[in-house]
Amino acid sequence: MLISDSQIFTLLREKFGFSDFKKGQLEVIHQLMAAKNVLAVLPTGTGKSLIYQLFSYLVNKPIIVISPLISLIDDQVAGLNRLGEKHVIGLTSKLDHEQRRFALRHLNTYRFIYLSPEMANQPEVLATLKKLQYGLFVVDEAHCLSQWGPDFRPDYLKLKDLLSQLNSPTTLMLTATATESVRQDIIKKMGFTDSTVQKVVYSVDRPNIYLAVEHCDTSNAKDEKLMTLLQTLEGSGIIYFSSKKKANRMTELISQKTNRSVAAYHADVNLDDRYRIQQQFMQGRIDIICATSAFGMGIDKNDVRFVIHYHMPGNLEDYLQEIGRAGRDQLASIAILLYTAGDEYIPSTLNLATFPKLANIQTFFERPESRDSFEPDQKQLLDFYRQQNVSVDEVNEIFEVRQQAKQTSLLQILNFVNEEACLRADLLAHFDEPAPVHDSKCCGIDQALSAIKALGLDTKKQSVPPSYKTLNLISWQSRLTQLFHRKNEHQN
Amino acid sequence: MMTKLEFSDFLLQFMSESDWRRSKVFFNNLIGRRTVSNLFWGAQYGLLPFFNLFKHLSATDFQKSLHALSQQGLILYQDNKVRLTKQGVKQKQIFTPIIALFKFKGIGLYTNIETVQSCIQLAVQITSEFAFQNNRYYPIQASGQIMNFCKKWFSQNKSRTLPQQLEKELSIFLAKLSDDDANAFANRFIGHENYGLTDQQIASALEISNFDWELKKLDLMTQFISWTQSDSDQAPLCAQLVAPWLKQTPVSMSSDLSYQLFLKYTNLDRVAQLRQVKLNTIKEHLLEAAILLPDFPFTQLLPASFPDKVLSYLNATPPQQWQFATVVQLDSKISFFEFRLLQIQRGPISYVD
Repeated sequence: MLISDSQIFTLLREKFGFSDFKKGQLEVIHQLMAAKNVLAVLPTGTGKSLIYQLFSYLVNKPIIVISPLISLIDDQVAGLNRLGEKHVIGLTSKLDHEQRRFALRHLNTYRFIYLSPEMANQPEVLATLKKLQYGLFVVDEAHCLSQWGPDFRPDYLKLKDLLSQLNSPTTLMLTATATESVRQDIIKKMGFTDSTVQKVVYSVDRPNIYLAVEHCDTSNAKDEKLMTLLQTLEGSGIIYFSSKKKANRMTELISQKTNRSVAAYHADVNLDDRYRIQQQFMQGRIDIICATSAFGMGIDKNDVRFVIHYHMPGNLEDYLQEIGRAGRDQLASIAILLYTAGDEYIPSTLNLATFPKLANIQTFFERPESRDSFEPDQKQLLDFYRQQNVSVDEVNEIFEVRQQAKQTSLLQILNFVNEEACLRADLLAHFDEPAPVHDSKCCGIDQALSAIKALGLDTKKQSVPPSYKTLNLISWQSRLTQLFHRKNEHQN
Repeated sequence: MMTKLEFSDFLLQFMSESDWRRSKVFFNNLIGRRTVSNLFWGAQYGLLPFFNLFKHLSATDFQKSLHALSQQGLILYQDNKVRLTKQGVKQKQIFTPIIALFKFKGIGLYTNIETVQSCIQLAVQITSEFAFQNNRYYPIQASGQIMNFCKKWFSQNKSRTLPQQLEKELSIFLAKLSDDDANAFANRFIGHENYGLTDQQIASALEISNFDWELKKLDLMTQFISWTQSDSDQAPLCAQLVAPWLKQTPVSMSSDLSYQLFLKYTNLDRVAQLRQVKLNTIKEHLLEAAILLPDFPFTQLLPASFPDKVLSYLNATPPQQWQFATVVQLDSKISFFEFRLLQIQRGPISYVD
């Protein structure tokens, strides 16, 4: 492909409004232009999507993107729409019959086709997909391919066949977190060999994020610690919880005990309110979001100064992903994990509940009428193996191995929480990276408050005037004017 | 400080001290599960005005509320049945006048209020961004069907004056409300660089509970929907957003079809034949119509008279407590269909405020 870097930079400016690439982006684009398959491991916040989005304007052929979740697909579609790109479709279960038919009939008119692996396997969808020639096949969140990774999705295993049925277009596998063994596994599961895939691997480290673990004796002490931290910290932040109920309760407590504006953000919050919260957070009208870990957020905010884990995540991959929301502007930020002995029981119990027991697997396989009574996630998982003609005993063994892998992941983050030396060294070692030089901006154990001050993240700076944050009702007449009149109009 | 209205206080409104009521009927009506049995008992318990208004209520949260009421000694709760205690009656009375202010008129039988709400929100956002000549924005997320519908609405009405027209229509509606209500309604809108307030934020601004705001919000949407129907000449843009989602009858489409055929032919077997379904299905359809329509022709389907012993039993017992088994013993010819029809005819129907 004969395209100069200056043309690429022009596209970057005109389509995306950036003057420079973030690390890794241009390197991957070069590889793709040379028709090389690429596995890119780039840290959170480095704009992985931009790589294939920009590349699509270079190849001018449709790009197929496999993504694991409807919410991620929606975010990507909305993001591209916002950039003015209309030729984009998310083939998800959200489409009604008519829309789906329309989309499939006009599939060749889309530049970007997003879908889940399950959707790609539906016969009608697959038949239509096979009619097109693709400029690129993208596997987003490629770590879902690996049984060694914590987010394994069995349906990802079918991607290898899908790829060959689509005439094996150039393939880009993207992930933010993958250990060496997971990387090898991804390549193998996609049907490639080590020599047919270029690896672009950047350190997962985010040196501008200070890592802190705070040990609290009781859950009351944890709540008090959280309040003190929030009274000390300046700027925007996200607090992660493992339950919606706790996120709601703490949202109330924070709004009573601090002067911070705060909102809960999870699956129970309706879609319109999620939108309002995201936007108010972006605008700085909401300081703090209390979110559940399972729930992604669509909009990137560059100046998140802190991420606090009220509950520990189930593994280091999730931890890294979640703290990665802090400091995307590369300025000093802090990630604080609050831990009380016994906190690990929550993720551990969740792990044990995720996989059906032998008796349940037997029931599912032998009594079709029982299948609807299974939780949707379990049903999907069991259906997958049943359709692959895997026996009950084999399925049980697969689950036991997976469960064990999840418990091992949990132990790894527990070791991190109980680390007595350098937290960053421990975290990076998990991703097969060497220990960095430890300094005062690196990490600390049970000294978050002094670190906040040393990093200049405390409230000494001029804060946003409280009046801006007061979320009062304005008169309906003014509200309608705000909505429908451009400024110059109502000045006239 | 005044006690704030919570979901559990709302539930008390449908309970009685004199009889045990089935909690499942409450849940099924609130989430909008349309079966004859649910509608029948929903009508007896006064639930129909609120039918289908709480689609997202989870069984777990519902159970938790009942357990909480039971623990507070306000209700007796056993075998999935509930009954008010003396203390419960008092607590119920505190909020009865407040709940009575909400006039939902069984709106959930005619439409899915949430769908209409999403359409208004999205249409306002699209128009607001259009007013600012901005086509690069994140649209509010809704189902594909709603997004498609609003896109069509926009392309049909797109003109330089669209923002002013929509503003004018909304102003007419908002001017009819109290200031607090109008402000709350308008502050929910999402538009260009101004994203409105969340439910939680509006509830705090109005100093009411989240649940109270939830009811208020539903009430305002109900008023909005009624207004687009009654003033459709003044509000063509809004009417276009609402009308396609609104049925003309509270009865489901299939039941209505059977009912119309019955009115035409007055012969149940004929209707079953025409619709190619079982006779019992037609009977179910007619029972639904009997529960939900005020002018149902009961006399065409009920025997002209009943034996005296049956009549004396029915007259001596409130319709809710009639037992089919008892009636059959008194008169073996009476069918369950006739029994239920009579029960509907004599029982309280309170969805039409």
